[in-house]
Amino acid sequence: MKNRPFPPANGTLRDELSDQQPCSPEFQRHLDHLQRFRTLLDHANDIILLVRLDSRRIVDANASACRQLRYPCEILVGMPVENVIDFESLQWPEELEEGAECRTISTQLRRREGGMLPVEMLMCMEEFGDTPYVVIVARDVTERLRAEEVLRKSEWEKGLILESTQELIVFHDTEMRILWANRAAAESVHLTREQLKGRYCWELWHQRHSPCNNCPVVGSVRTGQPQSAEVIDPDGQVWLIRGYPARNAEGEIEGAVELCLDITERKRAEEALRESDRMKTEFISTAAHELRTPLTSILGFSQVLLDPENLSDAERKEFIVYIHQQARALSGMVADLLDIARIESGQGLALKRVFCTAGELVIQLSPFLQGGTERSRFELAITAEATPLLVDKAKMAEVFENLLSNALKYSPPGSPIRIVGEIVGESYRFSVADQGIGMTPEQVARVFDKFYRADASDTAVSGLGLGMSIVRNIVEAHGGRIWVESEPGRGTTAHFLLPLALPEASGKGSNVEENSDR
Amino acid sequence: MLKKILIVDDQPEVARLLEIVLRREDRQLLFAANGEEGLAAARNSCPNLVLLDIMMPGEVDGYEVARRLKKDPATAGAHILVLTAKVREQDRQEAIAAGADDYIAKPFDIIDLKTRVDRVLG
Repeated sequence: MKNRPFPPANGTLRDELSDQQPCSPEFQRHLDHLQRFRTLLDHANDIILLVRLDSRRIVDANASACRQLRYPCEILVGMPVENVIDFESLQWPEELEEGAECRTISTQLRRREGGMLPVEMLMCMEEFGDTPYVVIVARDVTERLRAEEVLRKSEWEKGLILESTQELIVFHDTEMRILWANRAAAESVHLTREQLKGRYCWELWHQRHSPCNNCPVVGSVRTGQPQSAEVIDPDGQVWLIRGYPARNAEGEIEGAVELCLDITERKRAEEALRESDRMKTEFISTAAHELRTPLTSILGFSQVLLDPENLSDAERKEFIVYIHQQARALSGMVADLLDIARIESGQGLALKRVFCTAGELVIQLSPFLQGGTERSRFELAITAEATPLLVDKAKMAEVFENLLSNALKYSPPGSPIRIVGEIVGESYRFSVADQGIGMTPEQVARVFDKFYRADASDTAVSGLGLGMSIVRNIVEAHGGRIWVESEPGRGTTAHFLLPLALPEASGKGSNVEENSDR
Repeated sequence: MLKKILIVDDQPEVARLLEIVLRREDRQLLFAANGEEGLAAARNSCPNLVLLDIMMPGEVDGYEVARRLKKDPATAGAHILVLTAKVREQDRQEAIAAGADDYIAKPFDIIDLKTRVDRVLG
């Protein structure tokens, strides 16, 4: 049976009617019949039009058609169908085509005042007598399109939210099979979202054959309450996993939403912060202890000197020397603290750079090298002594004194300490080498850390643990580089590079500086 | 009778300060610069009083010296006075637990030190 929206208007009925006399009961019966179908059509919500194929004029229209297209029926009937249908947007049949009588298209109908009515339209070819017609049944889809648009927008918004986060978002059924996953989740295991469907999260993300212990997603399904937990993978990745039970309209749990965030970096940062905090606390304790050591001598000897009658002149002099030495040590520690505070606050070190030669930097160490009982231990090998450098001489002395006192502290009495200077490429390189206890690779890696002391328990090696950190800051502020090579039991060598001063600048500059120094 | 005081401290100027403060006709002062030396000196001379620093170079710190002195019957009778810059409450408790009889924080008041030493030695 073909689709026949106008069932009574067929040839048979018309033939029957033409044989009947008006007012005859048969005629009346057929008329009633037609009237019933007319009523049915007029009550249909769809627009129904009958159009002649040859003249393209509307020859019949139901009440809905007139109402929805805003025409009085007497105007609509007889009107060219082009007034209502945009021919360019659809293929209007030129002639009757056998076999393809009906087709459905989405299009728009033009209303009388010019507004457009979106419709889904069925077009069927029919032949009544020998005349071909097109039957049009069109349904207003305004509401459906609006609903679809709302849905599309809400899907788009949902997608925007779910896909723009780095968090892995997965929707599971109650058996923990994946029903839906966002792109971040799929990309994290290098699969497509389709491939994730039906798989289990524990096999994909945690290389397990069963749920993780205390899995918060499983827990949320079991308890009906949101849960969260941190899960550590075998490879050390740390995940913050949160599970939320997903309930249907009846309140029954149908699955769970899992939010999964890689917090490995955050954990690492927290750990680093805790470590830095721990070092700072230890530093304060160490600093207090270190400051007490010179204070013990200063306070003790000065208290002894307050009652000088029992002391010989030699003793008095000796004690004043102790007080002076210890006060200087204290002052050095305070200077270190101020230096590190400046560096910490981002102010950096204020350098007073002058032109000088590599040799001069070593000569200014003479009091240090020749002053103590250890002078026989120092071996100097300075080549290209006249090499010009642009440096803060006092700060460079600080660098050398730090490196040399470390070499003294960490090597046995009498063992040699070698100071080497030479040109290496575009730089001048100084090295301070001892034959002391050396350091492990772990200790070498941390030697420039603030507050770090290779062996914090040993007070024979006094200091705040700031020296090497300050030294590196000084060298780097000069555009140089410093590093340490060491081997336990064999000794330690500290090297630092300083950039060579430009020759033309050094000629003028050093004179100016020398004049200003005098 | 001559009373013996053993001073165990790695810092020579502190040892010198203690010498000045504590020297007296009826006392003999002995010095050691680390834990091992301190233990050896204590065994050799059986001091009445040991002034003991805590943080010293070498394997044996002050706590360990105190423990071993109290364990050895030959030295258990010595009065141990810990003298240290480690001044937290837990440091003091550790010193007492190790066998110290008294505890003085550095820097110390020399009158206070003298008083305490005199009380022990009479």
